[in-house]
Amino acid sequence: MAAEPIIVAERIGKNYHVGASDVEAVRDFSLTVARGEFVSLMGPSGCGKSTLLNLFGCIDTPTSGRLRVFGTDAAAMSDGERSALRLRRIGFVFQRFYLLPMLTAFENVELPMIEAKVPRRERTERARSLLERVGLGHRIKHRPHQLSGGEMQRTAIARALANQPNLVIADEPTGELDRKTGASILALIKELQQGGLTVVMATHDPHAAELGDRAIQMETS
Amino acid sequence: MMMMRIALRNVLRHRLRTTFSVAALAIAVALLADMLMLSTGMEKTFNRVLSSVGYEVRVCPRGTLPFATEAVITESARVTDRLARDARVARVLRVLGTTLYADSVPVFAMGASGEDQSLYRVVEGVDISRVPVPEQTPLVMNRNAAAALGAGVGDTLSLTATPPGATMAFSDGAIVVVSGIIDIAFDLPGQRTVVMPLDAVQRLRPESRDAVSFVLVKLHAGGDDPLAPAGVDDQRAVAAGIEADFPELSAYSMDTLMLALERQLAYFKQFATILSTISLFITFLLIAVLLAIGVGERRGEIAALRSMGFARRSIQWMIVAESVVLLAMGAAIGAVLGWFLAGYLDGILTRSPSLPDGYRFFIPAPREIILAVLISGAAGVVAALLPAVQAARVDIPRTLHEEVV
Amino acid sequence: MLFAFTIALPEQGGRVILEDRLASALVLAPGDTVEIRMTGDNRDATAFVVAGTHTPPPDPAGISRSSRTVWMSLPDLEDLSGRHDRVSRFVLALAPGANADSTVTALNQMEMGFRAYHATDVAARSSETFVVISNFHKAISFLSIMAGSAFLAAIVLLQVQELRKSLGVLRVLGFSRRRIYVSVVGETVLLANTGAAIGVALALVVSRGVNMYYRRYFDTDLVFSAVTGMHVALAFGIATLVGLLVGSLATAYLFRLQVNEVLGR
Repeated sequence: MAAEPIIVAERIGKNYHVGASDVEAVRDFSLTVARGEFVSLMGPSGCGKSTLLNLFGCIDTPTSGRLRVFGTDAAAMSDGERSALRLRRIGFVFQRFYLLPMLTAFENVELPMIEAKVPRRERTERARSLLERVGLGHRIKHRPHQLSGGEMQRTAIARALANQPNLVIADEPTGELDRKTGASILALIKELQQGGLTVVMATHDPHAAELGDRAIQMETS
Repeated sequence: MMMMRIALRNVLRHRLRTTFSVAALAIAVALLADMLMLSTGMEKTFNRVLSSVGYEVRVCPRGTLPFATEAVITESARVTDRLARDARVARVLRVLGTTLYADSVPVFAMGASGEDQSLYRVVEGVDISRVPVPEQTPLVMNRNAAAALGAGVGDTLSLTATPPGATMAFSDGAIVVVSGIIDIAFDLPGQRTVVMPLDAVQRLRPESRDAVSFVLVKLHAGGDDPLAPAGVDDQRAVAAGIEADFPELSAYSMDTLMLALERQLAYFKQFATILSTISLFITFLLIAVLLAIGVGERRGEIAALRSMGFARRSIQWMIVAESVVLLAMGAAIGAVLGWFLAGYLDGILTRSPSLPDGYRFFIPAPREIILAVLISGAAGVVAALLPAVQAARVDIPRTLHEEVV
Repeated sequence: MLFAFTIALPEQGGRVILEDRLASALVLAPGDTVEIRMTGDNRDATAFVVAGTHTPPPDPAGISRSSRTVWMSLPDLEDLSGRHDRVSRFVLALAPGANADSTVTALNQMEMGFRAYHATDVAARSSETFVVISNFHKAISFLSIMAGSAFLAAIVLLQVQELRKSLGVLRVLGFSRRRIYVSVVGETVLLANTGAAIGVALALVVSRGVNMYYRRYFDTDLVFSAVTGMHVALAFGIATLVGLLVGSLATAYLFRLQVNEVLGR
């Protein structure tokens, strides 16, 4: 029996109200992402990549079409249910890292596990092992401002993996990094996918997109 | 716990800003604590003075308070006879206050009947009731009088009702012997007070032979302790009985006397209420503004946490925790500041010339400090709710988009 | 002058002048008869004819006084009280050219068992309580200014934190420190003065409320709270000073941040 797809989008659309006008960010978009797949979304700024990631990550709900994430209708879920789903099954990697500046790298990774009520001993071990896995075993007590851009993104990736998600959503993860550092981050993401994770990544960099099993080219309407 | 740690570290991260925020909060908490002390300080002082006298009911000329006017109860024996028939009454003390002259020095003289009195405390020598020589008229005086007259225990004084040089129209003078030096709780600053047996003072004021300024009544205590005050119901019943039988008199139980005295200082109570409200409002406003701007500053961070699956309640708790941390710091400093400030403000107000010695407006007390901290804390938490709700309702996609732009 | 007002006392015996509030409380008018006796005295009262009523000028020293005043001739009062040839005080009007200070000194040297005071000393003594209350208000005002300044500083530092990126860009674009300083300090002074303006408006409203309340509470025409031009000038003066200080502090704090740090992270 074939594994159930992680994401099934059927002609989804998303409109935003900006002032008095209606902006159509995504129209009639269909996509199925299988378990363990690495899908890259490519396209120029404003083509709707981030909107799609928000929809796939259950941060937002489509205004039309049907979207199932982990077999559940995204539009039918309450805010609390979507939060719980994001917390336990989806990891996010942002372009701007969004590490909490007052916490150490270790505490940043530990944070989602505290929210998920993972026992202290387990989360300590897991945070340490995740930071070692992303190559920051020696930087666990450092605060974000003491880390380089690449190290901050590695910490953010470790944090995204804290609650052992099945899906990682990465929005321009190399957008704030130089080419060399970006390449190492992409290699890390690829490594995660090869370990069994499903990855959906938005990028405007064709080289980054090539890492995916599939690269979906998007265009502005 | 983690949210509290985040809040603490976030507050400590911006040291300068936090210093000023905490300073403002500390002053607000201190002011609130002091205003609570102000409103209870007067009450405590009245209570202390009234309790120290040891009598529960006071009978005065109608509409007056003890020593508030020169009015007297003219036929006081009728009042004491009436009280003697009341089974609830344990003992009665009649007091006459008047101005007498020792040489050319005017002194406030109190005549007190009865042996078992607690109007004052003898600090040197013996009380007038314990003088062994019956033919001598004893007198005790406070330190101001002793200093003004240059007299001490064992000295003899000549007292008159009129100043030297005036025609002795009413009485001859009296020769008295100083038997002791006393402390009186309700003396005015600098007041020269002497106390003598009631009949001695009345003899010097022949125009009012049986007159007294007021009558103090001690009731039988309800419990085993004979010094314990009687129940308020008994006090009120005895007072009401006197007023019914003597329409020209006012009788006060402890609680009604407290009310009458407090009414005279109503301004301070109302001032305390107004300033307490303002202090609370400042706390509320400060926390609300600081957190609202802080939330605006950290929208991206909050949106990222929400996108990672943090529940709205967790975000709300994170913001409220920040308020709690700020308030805890402000309260800790405010409590100390309030304690010392109370002494300073009390020093200012007690310089008032018409206040009795020992009168306190602010009495530093842990209860008021704790109360101020709790009330400020509640105001701070309420103030944090709106920014907390705003933070929890942050539009995740839009915020993340705006932050990137 | 010991008293700020004069009253024509009843010329004939058996007549009294009542304080207006007493007259209205007892529903008495000139020509009516009123029976008076000493407080606490159970002897028969004496009947007096009301000769008139008098409105005493507002006296701050008497606001908590609940008693009302009856004016009568001294012999009537002596008869009523049973105390003859005794007065509480003498008020002396000196002959033209007489020196008040030397008269006071001479009277006090007589050691007659009384003490003489110059009218200004009496006024100073009776206003001592209000000086004390005024000092108390000043202490509270000082604390309020401290709290307000700290509040303003916290808010401006928060705003500066928010603005630091755009201000950093301005620096890179070549805006001088002076210009940025003027901008931040100007905004802070404006903010402080806006607060002062709202505060003054609030004070005017609250002042009216305070006067209304206490006039009713103490049954007096006294003015308890007045917002004067001096107060307004003081409010704006302090606001400007605090704004300058806080603005300067905030700018100094802002300049401590390196331009690179501002732009980079």
